Amino acid sequence: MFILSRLSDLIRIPPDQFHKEAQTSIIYELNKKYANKIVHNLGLIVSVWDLIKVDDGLIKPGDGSSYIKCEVRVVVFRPFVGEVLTGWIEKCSPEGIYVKCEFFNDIFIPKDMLFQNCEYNINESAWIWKMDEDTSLYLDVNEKINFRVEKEIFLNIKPKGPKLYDDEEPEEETLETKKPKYSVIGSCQADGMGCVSWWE
Amino acid sequence: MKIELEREKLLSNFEVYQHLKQIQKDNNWDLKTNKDGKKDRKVRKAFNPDLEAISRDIVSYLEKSNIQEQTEENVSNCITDLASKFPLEKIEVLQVINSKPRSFVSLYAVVEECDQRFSEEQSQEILDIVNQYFPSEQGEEEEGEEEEEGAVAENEDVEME
Repeated sequence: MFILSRLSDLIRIPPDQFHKEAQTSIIYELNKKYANKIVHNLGLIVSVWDLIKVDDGLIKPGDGSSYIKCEVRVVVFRPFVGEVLTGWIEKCSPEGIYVKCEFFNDIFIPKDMLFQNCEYNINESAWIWKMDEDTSLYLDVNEKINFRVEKEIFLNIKPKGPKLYDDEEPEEETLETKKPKYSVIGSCQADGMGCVSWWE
Repeated sequence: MKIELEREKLLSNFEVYQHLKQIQKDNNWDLKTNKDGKKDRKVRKAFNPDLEAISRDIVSYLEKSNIQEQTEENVSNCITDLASKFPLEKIEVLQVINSKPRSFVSLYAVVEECDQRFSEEQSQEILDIVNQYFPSEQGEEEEGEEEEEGAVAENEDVEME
């Protein structure tokens, strides 16, 4: 679920941090920059784990801050493909199930990755698994659910450039920006997946 | 920023939990603002809403899987026991520690081709080891069921209306 990644970066320590220990202020600045941020092709960074290497600080003309090159290890949320995770159902739609994990909510289980004989019930807006003729199990909102990670999708969202033409339609852009930068596609097909309560 | 090494090590949920707890403790974020809240607020350090939010969310997510019962001692003992007795992959041991399977179904979900690699007795032994170090929370499970029943009852009430 979580991994350690090693990054190197040039960090700027503003003068108002100079009264602190160098290490503390470096970690503070790094946390400010990285905590709860998604890095493309890396994952969701949780926090700084430790500092590996810190170079001497440099001062640039016209700026009182010190610039320090450092190597750091960070905790990253990056489940591997095949890992089994637990979450809660946030929403059911005809396309599939949206799952949330409190700190990470961009998990989606498409309908063709659910159990066989799964049906969507519009009236109850829930997915129903017809295990056999007599038993039908409900995948309802807020149920605790186990799923397997199948795919991870990174989307590189670039900053908006200046408008070139006046007649550019803004609709597409809003759809683009709505898409999460990092999302996980899950599946619910094997034994032990689906609602936790079924298997207890 | 440059990524030097994408996946240096895998971390168990327990390690992350400990780390975040330490961060919260260092910054006094875990203090509940109660009657003498004024005093607490003064001590709160390092204003960083992102870090505070994510550590709060992850800690509460992990606590739902009863991570408080894990200690450095029983986690490392459990790992040595599992790794010395069974030819499990590193990742499988990690998942066993993270998800603490209590039944065959949940063990099979975590360990690949478990039914072919291990006999039923061996699988039972793995479950026993997990149970030995992290005794199952029987009482809490019952509580959970009661809550669910309560929720169902409430739903019925709503439908009746």
